[in-house]
This record gives sequence, C-alpha cells and structure tokens, in this order.
Amino acid sequence: MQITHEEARRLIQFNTDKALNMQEKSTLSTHLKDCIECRAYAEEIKEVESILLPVMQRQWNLQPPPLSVDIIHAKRSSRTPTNIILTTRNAAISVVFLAFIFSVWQFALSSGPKLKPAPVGVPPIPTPSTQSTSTKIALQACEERLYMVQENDTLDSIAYQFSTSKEEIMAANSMKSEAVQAATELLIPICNFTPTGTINPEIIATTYTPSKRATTTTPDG
Amino acid sequence: MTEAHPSWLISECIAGNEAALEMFVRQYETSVFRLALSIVGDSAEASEITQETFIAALRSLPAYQEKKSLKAWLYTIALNRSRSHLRKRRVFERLRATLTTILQIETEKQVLPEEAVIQSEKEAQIWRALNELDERHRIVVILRYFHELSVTEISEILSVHEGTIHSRLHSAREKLRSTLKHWHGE
Repeated sequence: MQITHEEARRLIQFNTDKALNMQEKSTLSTHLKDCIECRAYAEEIKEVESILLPVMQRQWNLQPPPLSVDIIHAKRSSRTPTNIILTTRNAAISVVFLAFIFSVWQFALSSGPKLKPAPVGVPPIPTPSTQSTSTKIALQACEERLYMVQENDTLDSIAYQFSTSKEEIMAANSMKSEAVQAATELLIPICNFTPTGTINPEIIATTYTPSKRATTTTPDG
Repeated sequence: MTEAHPSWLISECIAGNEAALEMFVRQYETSVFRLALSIVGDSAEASEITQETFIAALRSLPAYQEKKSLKAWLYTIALNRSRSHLRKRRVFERLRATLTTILQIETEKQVLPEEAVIQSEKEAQIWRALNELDERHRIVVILRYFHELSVTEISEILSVHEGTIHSRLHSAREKLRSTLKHWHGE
C-alpha cells in the first residue's frame, strides 16, 4: 500500500510509542525501504530519544531524603487545626499585602501632582538610555515629560500617544518644522492635554511600553 | 525490599497499621519524589510535594477505587500537587515583575533548575528545548521518557484521551527534532 510522507511520519511517531498494529508496521517498513527522507526522519526521532533519556536521568535520578513517616502519620490525622491556622495566616498575609499595594498605588497617584512644575529646559534626569525599553520617559515635572523619539515616530504619532497636539509639542520645543529625528529628546507638554483622549495613568507615572504604542498609534509612511 | 501487594497495603494503611504505612511510603517515595522533581525541577520543593502527596493519599485512601493502579493514582496526586506548585511559582513571578515595575527596584529572581550535569552542546540544546515546551507537552514527554510510562498509563494518570497524549507527544518530539536539526544545520 502506498502512503504519503506525511502519513509515514505519523506512523513513525506512533511506532515510537509502540502503538502500531502488524499491518501498519509492515506498511511503514515497506515505505521506509524506498524513502530516504523518511528514514532520515525516523533516525532523527531516534536521536532525540537517545539524547533525551540520559539527560533526564542525570538531572532527576536523585535519591530523595527519606520521608518521616511520623510526620505523615501525624498530619494525616490532624487535619482541621492545621487548616484553620493556615487559613488565618494566609488571610492575614493577603490583607497586609493588599494594604501595601493600595498604599503604593495611592502614593504613586498622589506624588505626581504634588511635584512643583519645573521650568522648561531643566536638565533631564540621567536615566534614559537608548537601550532601555521600559524607561523611555523620564519624569521631569508634572507638565513636561521627556520623550526619546523612536524609529518610525512622527510628530503626529507622538502627539496622539500623549493626547496632545503637534502644535503644542512644536511650541514646547521651539520647532520650526514637523520633522522629528529618532534618538533625539522631545519635551511633551502633558498637563495641557485636551480631555478628549485619556492616558492610562500608569503609563505616565511609571513606564512606557512600546507595545502599548503599537496599538494606539496610527501607521505612518 | 520486596514489594507488598497494593491491596494489602491499602487495607492495612486504612486500618492504621503503622508498619504498613511505613512500607507504603518507602515503596513509592522515590518514584513520587522523582516525578515531582521532574516537574518542578527543585529538589527541596520536590520533597515537600512528596510529603504532601502521601498525606493527601492517606487521607483519601478509603475512597480509592482500584480502577487505577495504586501507582497511577499516587502519580495523579503528585502531578496535581506539582502543577499547583508551578502555578504558585508563576503567580509569584508575575508579582515580582509587577513590583519591579511599580517600585523600580530589582527584586531577587528565582533561580531554577540545576543544570550542572549537561555533558554536550547537543544535550544542552535538547534540555533547553524541553524546558521551553509548554507544560502539557513537557509533562507527557517526561512521563513517557523519564518515567518510562506507556501512552495508556499516561492517559490514565492525566485523565486525558490516548489520542490526545499521542498528539502531544508527536508535536513535542517534532519540536525537539527541529531543535536538533537546526543545531546540526548550523
């Protein structure tokens, strides 16, 4: 019986798991006799297996430290008290943790507006590097942010990202034309944005993720 | 040590025979430990899972039905425990990443598994490719090759159709093969 390479490969795979009946086995071996390609495939699968097993054995054939049967015996019969203690402990940890996260969040929200607006042109915080993907905006003040221009950015796309207008960006940077150059820094006036578009506060307060941009910008030429 | 008959062990353990309990634990602890170790990759965590597995098994022993072999039943418990440890670890990892982002601090990253015994670049490739498989595929490969279980046994332990096990094995092997092929090609 003639079979395709695709079917032969499937049979090879099944054969590896000892799941072929006699007829399938003979079909496969007939095909393999004439097909160099599938023989090579079978060899490759065999090679994978021959490497896999010793690697796993060396990694995991360890002797366990002997278990204490007494502990198992004791824990098996004392179910309820352990559970109450565990539940209480877990609940307490969760509450403390939630409180912590909440306070961090509140702090992040409140610390932004409290900062006095710094005058335009204050030297940037020396964090941004071209390699960093997460910190592309350096927090300078409430109203101004430094933004490192990326490849393929246009003034429009930047203005769109920050829900501001390109005129405002041009004014803030005393720009004469709309051309922007990658790897240069732009001051972005943020507090003046019009309320039509909202910015995720997390993006402003902490990080700037390029993937976010990819979904919000309009493609440019 | 000769192996005691499973049904005798079960009835004696339920009756509270401590010698039988000890036999039960000694008979299966190595395989349960190795199963846990192969899934979570950390020996301290694997011992913990082994202990949890026996405690859980002894508690539900009265409900055990001999549809599954005792070993397969223990493996199922151990596997579920191991997966829940993996889940916890993933949650912890996500939390760590979030904290790192929010607070802009470096938190200590969990270092995983010991890779000291890799002997050749080929082995390293396969080992890496194995660890990059997703959990469902990785587990069947481990059960099939390291624990040398048949497809039928794996399907019993995971409560998944044999056809599904076959197809997971196929695609996992296919990935490992292409890794090796790629390596040969370079």
